[in-house]
Amino acid sequence: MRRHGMNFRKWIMKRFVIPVLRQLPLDKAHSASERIGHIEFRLLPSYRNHLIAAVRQARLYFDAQWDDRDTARNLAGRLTRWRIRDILLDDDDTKAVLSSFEVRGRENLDEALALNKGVVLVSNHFGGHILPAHWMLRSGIDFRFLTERPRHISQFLNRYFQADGPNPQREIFISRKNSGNEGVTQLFRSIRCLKSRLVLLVACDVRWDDNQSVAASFLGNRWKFTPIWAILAQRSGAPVVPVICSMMDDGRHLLEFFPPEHVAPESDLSVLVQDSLDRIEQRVKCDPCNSNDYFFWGLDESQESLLLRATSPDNQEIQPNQQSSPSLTQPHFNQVSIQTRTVNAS
Amino acid sequence: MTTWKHEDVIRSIRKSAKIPSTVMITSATRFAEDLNVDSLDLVGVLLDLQDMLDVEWTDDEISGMKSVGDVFTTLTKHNRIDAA
Repeated sequence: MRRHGMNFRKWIMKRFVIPVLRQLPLDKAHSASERIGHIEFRLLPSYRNHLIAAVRQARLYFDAQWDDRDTARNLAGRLTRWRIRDILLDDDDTKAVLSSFEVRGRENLDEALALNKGVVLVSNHFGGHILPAHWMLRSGIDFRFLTERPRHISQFLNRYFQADGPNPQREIFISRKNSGNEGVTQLFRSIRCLKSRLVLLVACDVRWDDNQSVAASFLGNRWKFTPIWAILAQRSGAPVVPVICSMMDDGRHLLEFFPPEHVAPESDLSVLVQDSLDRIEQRVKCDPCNSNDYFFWGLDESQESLLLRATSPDNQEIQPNQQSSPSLTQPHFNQVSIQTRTVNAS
Repeated sequence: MTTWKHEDVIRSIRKSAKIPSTVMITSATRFAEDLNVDSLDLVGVLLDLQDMLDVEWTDDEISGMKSVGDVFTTLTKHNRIDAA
């Protein structure tokens, strides 16, 4: 997304706004951050027009009935809240932080953990993508992030990232600059984490350009995505649990764990990646204001973005497939479900 | 402790990376250049060897695996393969 004086706004936020927000209860602080986004939307015409254009493009793709301006205004609020990341959760009061989450499907995560194979927790950049980490750590669930090291995050998470111990987080971070066998080593480290029965949090919507990337469609464009989450599930036999963390209107967060699935070793990575993206797309259609980043992908014409584009096999315009698109509540992986496997095993 | 022969290791590599029997594999064979094994294939090769030979590769060992000879050298250090 374009910068629109972003560095100055970041400085203002960090220097003046966040210290004030920290004095408020979490839900009120998050709601207040959204109101800042609404003010920016009203006062900055180029920013406003950029958001409206992005929303319009997505609406046309979905053939949805959103009001472009209202949706873009609400998106502006969520974007500001999203950019603050987890900074406001930098609080020693575990109870207060946990109470800022509404959790659904905890039993799905517990069911997967009970298999003692580790868990591939498949996340995404919809809503508050870093926030599940806080809930898990403060709930006593040890996990590792398989991601590039996130910047501008809370001291709480930074401390965790720097901690020593078996399979330390700092050795699990990946980099786009990795070369040669570094990627192989990284996969081995991740599999070791799963064998140690840890939860491995991996996003399924990371655009990535390497020899393992697969092409998939998302919001009308084709991109190269890393299938690393699926590879890990295939190679380790660990169950996959999709998770979504939405930002709610009341300043709290909705954390949803979906039923565990098994990825068969022979499954087609392209199909797995496309399925995971189709699910997110359906969620975006229902809740565009939590689509913090996605709407801007197609408008980004930077060299970096162009390298991540994949060509459509038949150069056809991509349309959302209403018939086959799955619902997040209806897992559609074609493999044997974990529940069936568990019953068979017993 | 069971030790394995070089032929066993080559057979496992051939199977994991789906290398046809017409392609000769020796200790000088390089994974990427000679067998066209990409990093994902190499993960499969090393994981299958790890399971078969009951070894645990270290990060440094994995980083150094460029050829079949590198695998032999590492397995010799682990006392999991007959010295040639």
